[in-house]
Amino acid sequence: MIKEVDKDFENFRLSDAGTKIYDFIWSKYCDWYLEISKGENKNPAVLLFVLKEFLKLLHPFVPFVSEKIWEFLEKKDMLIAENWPTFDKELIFTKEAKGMELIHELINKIRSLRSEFKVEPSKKINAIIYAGDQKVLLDSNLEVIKRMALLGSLEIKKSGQKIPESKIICIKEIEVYLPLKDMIDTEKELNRVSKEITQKERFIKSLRSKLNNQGFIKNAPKEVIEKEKERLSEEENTLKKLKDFQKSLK
Amino acid sequence: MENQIEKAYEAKKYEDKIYKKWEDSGVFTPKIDKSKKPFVISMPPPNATGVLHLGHAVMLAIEDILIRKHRMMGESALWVPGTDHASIATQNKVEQLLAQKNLDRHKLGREKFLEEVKKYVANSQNIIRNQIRKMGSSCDWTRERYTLDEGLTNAVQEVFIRMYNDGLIYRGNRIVNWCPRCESTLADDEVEYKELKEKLYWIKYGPFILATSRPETKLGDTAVAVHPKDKRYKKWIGKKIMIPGVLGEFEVTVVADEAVDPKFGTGIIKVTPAHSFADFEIAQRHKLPVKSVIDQKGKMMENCGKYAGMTTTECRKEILKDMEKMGLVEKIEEYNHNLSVCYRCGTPIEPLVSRQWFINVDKPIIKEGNKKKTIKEKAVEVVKEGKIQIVPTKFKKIYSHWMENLHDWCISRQIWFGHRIPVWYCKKCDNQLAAKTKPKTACSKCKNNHWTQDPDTLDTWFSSGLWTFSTLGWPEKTKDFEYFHPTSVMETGYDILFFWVARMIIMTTYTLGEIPFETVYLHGLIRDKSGKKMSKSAGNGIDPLEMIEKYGTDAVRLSLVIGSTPGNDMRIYEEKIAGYRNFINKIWNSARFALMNVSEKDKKIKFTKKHIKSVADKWIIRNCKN
Ligand SMILES: [Zn+2]
Ligand SMILES: [Zn+2]
Repeated sequence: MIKEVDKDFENFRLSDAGTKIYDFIWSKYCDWYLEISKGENKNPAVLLFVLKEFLKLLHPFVPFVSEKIWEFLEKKDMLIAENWPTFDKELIFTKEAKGMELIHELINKIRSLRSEFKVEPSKKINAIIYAGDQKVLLDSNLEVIKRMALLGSLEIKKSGQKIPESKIICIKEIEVYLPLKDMIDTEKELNRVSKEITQKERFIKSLRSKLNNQGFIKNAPKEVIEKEKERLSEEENTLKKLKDFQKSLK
Repeated sequence: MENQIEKAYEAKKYEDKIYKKWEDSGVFTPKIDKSKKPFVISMPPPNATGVLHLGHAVMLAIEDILIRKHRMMGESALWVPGTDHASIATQNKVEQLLAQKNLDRHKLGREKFLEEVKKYVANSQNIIRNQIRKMGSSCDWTRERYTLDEGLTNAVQEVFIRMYNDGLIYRGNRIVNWCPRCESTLADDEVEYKELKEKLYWIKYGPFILATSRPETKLGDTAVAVHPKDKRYKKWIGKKIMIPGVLGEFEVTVVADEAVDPKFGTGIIKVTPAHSFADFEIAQRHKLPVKSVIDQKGKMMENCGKYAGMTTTECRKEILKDMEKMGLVEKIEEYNHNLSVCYRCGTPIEPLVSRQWFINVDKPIIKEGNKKKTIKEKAVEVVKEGKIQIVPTKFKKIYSHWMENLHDWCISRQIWFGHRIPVWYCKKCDNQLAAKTKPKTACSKCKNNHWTQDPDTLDTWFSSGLWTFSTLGWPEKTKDFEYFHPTSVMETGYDILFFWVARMIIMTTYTLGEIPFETVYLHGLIRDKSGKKMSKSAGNGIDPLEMIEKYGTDAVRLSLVIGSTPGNDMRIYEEKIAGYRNFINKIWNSARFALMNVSEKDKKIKFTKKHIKSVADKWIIRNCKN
């Protein structure tokens, strides 16, 4: 970030510089690092170091609030007189950074699957991960993944058998299995699905009879007919998916 | 508890205290360190009697961001603050105040009036100073300047005298924009235009019929003009003819001039050299006599017979009546007209011929090798060759075009408040000289020792044109001037690129032979939510101080900087500022959360590479430090 911010300053792109700093604080520091720090991974030295670094970067833009926060960190020196952060090639951990991004992706994907299945935040689900070569990395972040993806239990193995009746997430060579029964209240879901199937079937029926109606076929413009046909095949597809899902629940 | 961070950030509670802490610490005052290049910004001086508006606020926000960054980078970062005496604006304000007490400047006399102005300025300077502080501006108050302070006055006189002795400054009769209310000349860019429905009078004019919007100026006509290719009038060209008028017959010459539009009216126009810019130029080209009929108060002069003493409007009415009686009025039409008015008071401009001081922009004077360049050429060159960068670059072209078409600059103003022109006239003969103070020696021509100073003052842009170097102590050989000049960035609105930035380039390259600044950064104008320009009359203005009071300075700063790019106008409205207050709160909350997760002992840790442990640590540090 620092390199880019410096470049923006050189080119008088102050808005870009400010936005980059803010994005770092928000989407990197707050959304991830602080969250991770809530668990056993807490490292006050780094947490404070990064906080100080971004306060310095923020200072030209928002001098007052940054200086006020600084007062809680440093009693002697004022932020206004601090040194501007510099790029440090000693502190560029390319490999580890990639690993962390993998963990973010994993957590994000589990989270979005949860929301896809409308799983209540309070409900813990279970996961089994076949991590291949990434087992060491994931093991060392087991607590983070478990907590941030709201998992009840998490097993990390090098590899294993396919697990039936599970949702599977693939990220490169990693496979994440999430048993469906954890995510779904089967009875409730069956109920919902069969209702939806009935509705779909009724709709498809009426669409079909419309397309079989000679009057409609003769009089309607070609594009309209094409559209209706397309619609029918889409709806039939969805119905098939719903039925498959129904089967998987039983 | 002192170490406990409050739940919510209350800007109002902290800002003034923090500013005081900074200012008291001396951190705004850089040290001269010849081993490194300084970073310098001259603050565009707000009017000494003004109040802070959003235009100032955006200027202060951007400059402060740059200064703080460069200061943190370890450079000697100097930001010179100051105020402008803004001659006409300030004089008008004080005159308005005097009028409430039934006084005017003529009753008081020059000296007493200027004392009143001085008092008024001193009072209101404090207001603008504190408003600059409110924005968080980390400028060096120990180096604050005023365009009318002793040092700057000395610099102004020095430059004037140099130019005078170089023959660049001359006095001449010229047609100028004149405001009869302010009783002063106005620069071209101090004239505003108002579209109006006006009457166009078609009048019998000897053997011709012609259209004019100002029949009263007939009293000052010395010619009629036609286009050289207009066949209708070919046989008249060059002839002198007698025209019947309300004050008897008078003589005009028929001239042919390219400037005449054969499609306007009947293709023939009357020429009043003393009261129209276009006509003055025609008169110059054809060596026509110039006859003034309107005086500096906008009244008809002694040579106007029974109309003498009338205002131009009164005179127009009377003269039309008389012309109707004589059967000279053919018809009256309405037409749309762009009336020029004074930008200060809205009074219609009266073009007048008067004696004024000018800077000759076309005289070769700057020596370079065997050649001599004009000040205009030099000012074009430094931008063209990239010695001065303009951000955004689209303004480079506009600048060059404007500069290449620059005419002699009229620098005298008929007002009292300002830098008095340092020219002294011998009362006994026509001798004159330029000097900072009244000459003590006798006149070299007639040996008398009676000197009187020119009564006029200088255009306010003359002194602000010297701003980058006069504020650093020039013409004294100060350490500040040696170290801090040329400055690094000139940051201002694109609307004063010509008013001011161009003039600084002219004055500095002439006086010092160096540029005033390396980069010009131009910000856009501020518009309201729907994109309209903010103005008092439209009632869509936002008071930055009220916004600071409500949402805090940081939020106001962000709303002016984030999402805007150099040279492009920006929209500001209260919800936007309120949005950035939430942004500030988020920053506060994240820091607060971080602080709640560490102990006092943790805060004393001296961070080293050894502290970086987990993958997450490495990831966050990489993302910060790369
Ligand atoms: Zn005026
Ligand atoms: Zn004399």
